Amino acid sequence: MKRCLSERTLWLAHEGAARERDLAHLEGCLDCTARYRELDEDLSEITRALRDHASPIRRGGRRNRRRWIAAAAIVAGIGLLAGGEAILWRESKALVDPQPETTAEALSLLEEVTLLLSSPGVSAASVLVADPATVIAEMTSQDSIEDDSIATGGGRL
Amino acid sequence: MKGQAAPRWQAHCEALYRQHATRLVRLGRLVLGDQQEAEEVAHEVFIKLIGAYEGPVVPIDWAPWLTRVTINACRDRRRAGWWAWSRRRRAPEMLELVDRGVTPEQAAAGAELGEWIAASFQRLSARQREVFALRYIEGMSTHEVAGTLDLTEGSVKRHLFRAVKYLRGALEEIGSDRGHR
Repeated sequence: MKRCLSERTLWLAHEGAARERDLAHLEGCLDCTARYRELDEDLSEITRALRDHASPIRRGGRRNRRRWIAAAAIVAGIGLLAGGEAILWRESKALVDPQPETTAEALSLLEEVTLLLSSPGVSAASVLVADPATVIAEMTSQDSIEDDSIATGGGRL
Repeated sequence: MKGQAAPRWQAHCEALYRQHATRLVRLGRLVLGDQQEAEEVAHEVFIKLIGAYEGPVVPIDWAPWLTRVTINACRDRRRAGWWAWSRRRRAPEMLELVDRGVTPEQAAAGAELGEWIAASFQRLSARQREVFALRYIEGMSTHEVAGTLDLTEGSVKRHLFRAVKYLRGALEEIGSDRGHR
């Protein structure tokens, strides 16, 4: 009894590259003929599947979606960074470059302090130690006295 | 002269594109396992085709030329470091059927035989994929495949048989599962 054909020989027969004696065996052996038919069917099925099947995976869409998500996340991240940076920059600008009204207030305050320090009978130490309200009250009372004296003096002259 | 030559040249390129683009994209997809990459390869090939028109030797038979250039372009992509990196990164996604532990039972139950075979195909070596695609999908003879890939016929047969054996094994897995049901 002849040995049946190996898988490789069967495949070679399918490729048309088998030897004459192998082909002769194939013709006479029901078992090998059945295996050969099975090989042929398998190859047809595999080939058809690979031809028809667009891709092993319908992954283009999913991958693109992932890319979009990644891109959106990056853009959002950049946006957040830029926004945060803008807020910080605005705050730092406000500190370094104060508003005009703030400057005017500061100037008027400085003027008041200068006046206070230059007024007679008021020493810098007393101003620093004393309660600001008291000092201002004293200043205003002195001013009114001076005003009165000027007024009265003027009257006498 | 040039004004007359250009439309003829364009018409021929367009005809070749219509005739071969789908085939080349499919070939690239099988070899690379990625639709998008395959489309990019096909575009690259047709750009080379325009270059070939301007070259000193214009091929007479464009079909084998296009196939060879496609295979070479696929190889270039595979060799490129960034592509390997990108593919490694995408591999679990691309081969989700296999890598995510989808069993033959699930694949068969979901009537996803095609996906199963395609995923199994992607597990073959690059050379086996090339050889199988050219022989069985493109319908080339083993002699032509050997010529296209610069291999000996014996080598082509060896790669081809291994590929067939592996894919039949994958098919059998599903078949036996169906038998159990």
